[in-house]
Amino acid sequence: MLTTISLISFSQKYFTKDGSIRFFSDAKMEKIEATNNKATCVLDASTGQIEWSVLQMGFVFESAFMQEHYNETYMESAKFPKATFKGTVENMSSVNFKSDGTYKCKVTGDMNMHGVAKKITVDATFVVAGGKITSNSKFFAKPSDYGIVIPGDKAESISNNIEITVNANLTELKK
Amino acid sequence: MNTKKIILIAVVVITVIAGGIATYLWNKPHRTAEDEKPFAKLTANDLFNEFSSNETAAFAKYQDKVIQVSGEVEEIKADASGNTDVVLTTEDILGKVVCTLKTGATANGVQVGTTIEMKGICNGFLSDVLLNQGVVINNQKSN
Repeated sequence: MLTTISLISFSQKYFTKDGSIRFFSDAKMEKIEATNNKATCVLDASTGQIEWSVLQMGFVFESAFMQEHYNETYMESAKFPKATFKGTVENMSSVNFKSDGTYKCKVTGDMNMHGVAKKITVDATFVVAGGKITSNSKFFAKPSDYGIVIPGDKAESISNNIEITVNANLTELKK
Repeated sequence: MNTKKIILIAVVVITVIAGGIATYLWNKPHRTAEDEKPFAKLTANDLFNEFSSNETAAFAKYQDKVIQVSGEVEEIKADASGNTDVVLTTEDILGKVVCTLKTGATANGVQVGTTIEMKGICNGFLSDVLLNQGVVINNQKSN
């Protein structure tokens, strides 16, 4: 009983339902950008475990035509509706959410999209300022790593290395 | 006319047509819930319950469809892109139906605590049911 209580009191969870994920494809012929502001993120600050989820159909592109192709041809969103990341903040103990500062971290875990899971390690930053916690990260992902085939005639329109920017304002989860 | 000329004209015509099609596709407007008849009309609570009890079946049924949903407004806020989110409550304390309005649309006149009807395209389910490209269609719904 005591163990359970102490576990609960040590478990500090932070979350958002309004995380932003933006990706940017910088190819020779075209620059393509899409944003989704409804990503969820849950971070357990006591263990460093972090989880992200996002709905593929919620990505909004500048071009409706590209958005259609993203969902139908490339991501097959009807079959694989979500992209998720489940991982661990490696140096979580060096981050103090009670003290203002900028904390650089490495996050390692499984990124799962288009039905394919891949282990990745990315750089992330936590910024604590006046009780507000923001978390951001920028990294690259190769469509080919996730079984997404870009046909030859689109090679100059879609980058084979997509820039992904992640941003979240985390709120403490009160029990 | 010699063959070269014919080929040249053909190439020009094809290029112009292809360019026209490309321009049309590129500028094709975003699909919004405003212009479409709803695939289903239901309460926020019923929609949430369908997803929370069987997400796979509910997603198969509602994904990418225009849903007309009624419920009590809990919150109205701007998202990170400046679009308006309207949050409807359900009987589940944590479960919501969140509809992001189409770019430029406002929740004009909608008050927190009132019951409204709105339409949105169903994106699926995370911890809430998410709709986007939405519009408020009735903000004076009588209970």
